[in-house]
Amino acid sequence: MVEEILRVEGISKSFGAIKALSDVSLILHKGELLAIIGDNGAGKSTLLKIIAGVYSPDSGKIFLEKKEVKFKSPMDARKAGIEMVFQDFMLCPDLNVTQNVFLGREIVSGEFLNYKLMKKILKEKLKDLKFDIPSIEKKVRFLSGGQQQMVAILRTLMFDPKVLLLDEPTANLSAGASEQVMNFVKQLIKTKMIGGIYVAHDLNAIIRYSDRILVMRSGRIIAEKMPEETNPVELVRLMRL
Amino acid sequence: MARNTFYSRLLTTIKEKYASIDELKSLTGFIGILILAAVVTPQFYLPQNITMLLGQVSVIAIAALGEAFVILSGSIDLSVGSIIGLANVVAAILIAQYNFSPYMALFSVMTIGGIIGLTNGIFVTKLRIPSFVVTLGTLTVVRGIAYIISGGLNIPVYNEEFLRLNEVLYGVPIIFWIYLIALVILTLFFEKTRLGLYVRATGSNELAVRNLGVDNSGVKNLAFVFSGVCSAIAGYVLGVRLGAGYPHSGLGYELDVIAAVVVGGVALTGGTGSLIATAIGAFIMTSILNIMVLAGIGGFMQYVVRGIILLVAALAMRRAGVFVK
Ligand SMILES: Nc1ncnc2c1ncn2[C@@H]1O[C@H](COP(=O)(O)OP(=O)(O)OP(=O)(O)O)[C@@H](O)[C@H]1O
Ligand SMILES: [Mg+2]
Repeated sequence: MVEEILRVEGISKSFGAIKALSDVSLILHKGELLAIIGDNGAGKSTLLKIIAGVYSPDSGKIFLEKKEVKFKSPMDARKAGIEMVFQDFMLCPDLNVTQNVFLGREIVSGEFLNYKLMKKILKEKLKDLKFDIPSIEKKVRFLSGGQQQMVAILRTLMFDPKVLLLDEPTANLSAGASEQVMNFVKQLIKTKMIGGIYVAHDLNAIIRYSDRILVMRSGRIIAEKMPEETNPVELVRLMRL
Repeated sequence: MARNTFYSRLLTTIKEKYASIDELKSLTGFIGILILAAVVTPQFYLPQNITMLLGQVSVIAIAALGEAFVILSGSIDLSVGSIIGLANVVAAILIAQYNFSPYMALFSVMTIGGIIGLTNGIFVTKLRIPSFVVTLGTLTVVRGIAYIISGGLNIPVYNEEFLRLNEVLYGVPIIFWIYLIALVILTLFFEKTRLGLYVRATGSNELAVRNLGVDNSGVKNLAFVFSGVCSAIAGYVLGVRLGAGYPHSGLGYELDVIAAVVVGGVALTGGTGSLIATAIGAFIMTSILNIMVLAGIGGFMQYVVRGIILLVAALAMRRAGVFVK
């Protein structure tokens, strides 16, 4: 049996009167890409953000490699090896690509930022990934939507994550770029034996890339499907039921 | 055809470079003003006038350094003029009435400025009141304190060591040297350190910075503290120029300081701009004033012209897309 890397138990979260998540539990295994689908407002992003330490849950527990973790800030989660691609990128348009990729994790020598080293590391990573980013010194403001999304993805891949949380990571990418990104992610997850959670609305891509599919509705997980046993029509019915 | 695309691509590259280097727009404006001065009022370039200009620019430019941090981080500080007034009065009282050395007095007012800045920061970050409102409040309170502790009276300072700061060293007023030192230190901080980067990042996308686990409340507090400290130094320097503490000194300076920052090309929405750009902005505003005086344009008209310059600068930035987030 494959080992678990992340376990979520009984997570609930309300925003004022809105109950975004009620009693959500899931297990993510090493080397697994788990997909979460659901209608708009089902609670997918909220769940990922709780795992990433952005929100703290009202109740419930999170276990990373079987040890309970309580993140006080997203930095705690990142230090523990959890990296997230946010649905709305979370980039700073006035910072350049290098600054955005290393934001919160800058390399310093003494008191001063070591941009030379950061650029060197980033260039090497870009060679591996074959991402089409025009220049790492360009301000993100001047990049296209798809290129911005690549920067957001790049940021999560820089620091050897244990768990990758991808909230609609390819929504702005061309068909070719999406395939490239998802193949890379899939391969990374398999070779490094890390875990990935993948939220998307493209059901064909979900079936193609994920190892397992969870369906969410109104803040609950209501079904689990294996990609080879289901099809987009059934998934839509489950989401909408 | 091939030539055409080559040139149009070159043009695009140049345009992008121009838009991405924060100082270029304001520098272009400043060069325009220098040319204007050469044509209209050549006396502008007399050494005595340049020395005087450097003295004039110092107070606003020092305060603008701190204000730039606040604006770059996405807030605004309206209390700078009042902090200038309070620092001016307190430094004068400490030196004239309590026999503080000028350096101890400087250190004291810097501390007071820092505390006022931190208070601004805490109201903004902890109590979540917009900085515009918070600092409008401190503007009034701090000015009131300056009036109370001075009893509304002017305080002349006869300390020689203090007044000597008004002298000129290598053709440059000592107070301008003080500004240059502050500019170098703060530019190093802003461009080369983590916290400096976080100031710009917070102004650019506060939520992103928070979601990545950076303590952006701390960053905002720091910007307000810098602003308070810089304004206090500016008030002290103003005291050197005046040879006294005036409770109404610095009145309305917040507008000049903010104008310097904005004309320098720092977007009021935060994130874009630099301290060097702010320095250029302070020079633009002060030079225009100087040229108008040399050209014999009256004080009332000067207000109109300065306001128009501010509007033109804002327009130039809007067209460059700086205000579009
Ligand atoms: N910060 C917040 N404050 C208040 N309500 C929120 C907040 N974040 C999410 N919600 C609410 O929680 C519910 C779940 O939102 P969430 O963003 O998790 O949905 P989602 O499944 O990611 O939707 P989508 O597919 O549209 O991205 C929604 O009703 C939303 O309005
Ligand atoms: Mg979402």
